Amino acid sequence: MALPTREQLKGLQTVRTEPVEDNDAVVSIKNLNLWYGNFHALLDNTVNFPKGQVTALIGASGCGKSTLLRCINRMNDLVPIARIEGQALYEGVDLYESSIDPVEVRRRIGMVFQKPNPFPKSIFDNVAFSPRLYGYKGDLNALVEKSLKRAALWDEVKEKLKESGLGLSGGQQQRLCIARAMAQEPDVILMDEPTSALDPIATDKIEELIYEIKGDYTVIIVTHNMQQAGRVSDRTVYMHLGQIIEEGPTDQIFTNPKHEVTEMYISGHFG
Amino acid sequence: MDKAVKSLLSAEEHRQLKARQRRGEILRYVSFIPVVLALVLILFVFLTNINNSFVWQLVERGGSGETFARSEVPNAEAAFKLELAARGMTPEEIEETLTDPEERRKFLLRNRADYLLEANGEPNRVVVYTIDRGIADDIDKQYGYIQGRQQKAELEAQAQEENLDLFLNPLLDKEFISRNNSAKPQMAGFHTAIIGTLWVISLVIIISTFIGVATAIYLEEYAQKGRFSNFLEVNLRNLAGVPSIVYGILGLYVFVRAFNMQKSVIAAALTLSLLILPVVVIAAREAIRAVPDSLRQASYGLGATKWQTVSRVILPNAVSGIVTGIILAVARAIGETAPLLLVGGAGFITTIPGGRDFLFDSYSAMPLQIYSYFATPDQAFKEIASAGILVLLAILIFIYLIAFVIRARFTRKW
Repeated sequence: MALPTREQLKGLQTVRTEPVEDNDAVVSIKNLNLWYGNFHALLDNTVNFPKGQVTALIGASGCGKSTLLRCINRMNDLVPIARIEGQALYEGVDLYESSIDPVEVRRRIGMVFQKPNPFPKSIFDNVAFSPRLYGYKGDLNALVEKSLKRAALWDEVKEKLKESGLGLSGGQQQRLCIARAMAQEPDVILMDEPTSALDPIATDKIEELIYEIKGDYTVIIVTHNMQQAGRVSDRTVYMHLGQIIEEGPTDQIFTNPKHEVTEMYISGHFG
Repeated sequence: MDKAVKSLLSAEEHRQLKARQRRGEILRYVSFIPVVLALVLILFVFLTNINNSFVWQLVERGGSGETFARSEVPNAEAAFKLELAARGMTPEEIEETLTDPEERRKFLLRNRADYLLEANGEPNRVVVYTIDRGIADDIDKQYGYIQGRQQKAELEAQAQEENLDLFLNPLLDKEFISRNNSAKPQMAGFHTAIIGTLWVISLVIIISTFIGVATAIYLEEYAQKGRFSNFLEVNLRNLAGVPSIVYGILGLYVFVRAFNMQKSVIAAALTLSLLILPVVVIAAREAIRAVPDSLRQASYGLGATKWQTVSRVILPNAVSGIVTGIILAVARAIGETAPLLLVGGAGFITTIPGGRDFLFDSYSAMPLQIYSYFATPDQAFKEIASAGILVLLAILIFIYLIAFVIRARFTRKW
């Protein structure tokens, strides 16, 4: 069967299995549209992300999953040609309301990027970057230690906090980035393909880590790796050509996809 | 085709490959020629200036030929007494010459006490010379360092025979860089020019760093990318190529006249800052642009404001490129003569800036001083100018070394 085009997907109703109630959601996207210039990259997306759980965003390259992720902490504001309509609610507050500063959004919603990007500073300074930005009043050493422990990196780096973050291996660098994001004490952590630049062992450690922190944080993870989505996530959102085709509990999506495009993707026909 | 040559290719292909490799070899040597030429030229500049500054001079002394240690002669009067004694006068005659009004007037009209820079193996001895004989030391003949070195024995013999002294340019003693400007080569040095250059350059560094880096940050991080920023980009690059004399005229009309700064060190600094600003802005923009976008994203993602991102992430990571750019631009500004001639840098001055009018004092600068010494007809000044060039080159090398150290220190790995 041929894949549906944009035209054919117009007016599509997202297939929702066991949908998340508005009350249980920490982040809800409502009728969100995004244009890059004239290109309509996200078409009328609506989805709820449940508190304290891991939600995976999957889909083929260019389907808009990273764009959707970046809408949640307003990183798309940095792209001059991006234009957004619709709502993204965090604890019931619209993040795109005119009184909301994108800086406070990013304070509540942390982000981990595709490629590990520690600053060329010491490990300590990397983790302490965000607390210093807003003039953290408490014990900075304790906060750094707590964050590194949560990111399962403390034992590996406690002897060399003064050394450059760039001296670490790729996997350690990514965990450093996670610790750095945790140090701003967010509720939600967005992860944009956090393991795509890492080897399998480092990937394993990150996945374990995500499993560990689940419950304390709401994690939304974009991934290309379907096994990874299956392993770490509670719910999965499948996107295709800028639309959410199907969302539901991960085991349901993987074992019993309702929409035929989802099924083709899950079974590896494309992507 | 030699059968013994093993090749994966056919004979024809193999021959073609060899031809391609040969062409590459030739181009390699051709591309190496300019490097050799540049090195040879730099060496030539150094050697000629060394050869011209350290000249061997055969000097005929004026007066009695006696010199007196500075400690023995607290004033000119004391020097005159000693000199007259050396000319064979009795104490009574000396007394009469210096006290009788008529005799005294005649003596003072024709004799002067002055310092000699190197005599009897020590600097700053006092000599009294008679004016008819010309300047204190009459330079009889002089030879470049290399030539003089070769003929040293010959010259020494000649000196002995004709009662002359042989010096390795006595004008270039260790006080050369701390002596003021003077109409006499013995007294002339580069003190005012060096201090003037340091004043101008320090001001240029301060002004161009602030304005240049601020402009670069604005253009790279704040300005909307579009037609206007493209227009600015093109014109910045064009401005970097405008001849320095044009900036000199601009400085003359704007700073010296319109802002009524007169011939002040601040007017010169502003003019030179204008001259190097385009280069500084371009270098700073390149350095800022070279900071990986992933670091900006990380910073914004951690809740940094725009200014926090600029000041805590972008600038610290761009500092090596920015500083290198500034220093290379400043090194260019140090050697600029044309704009300074237009905005009124002095060729002859005995005061340094920072005095009564502080930034509005008049000034000289190394290239101006070198130019004005060279323009003096007296041969002795040309040697001083040559030595001045060596001092200027030494300052430049020092500045490049600073750039090198900063580069090595702040260079980051991503």
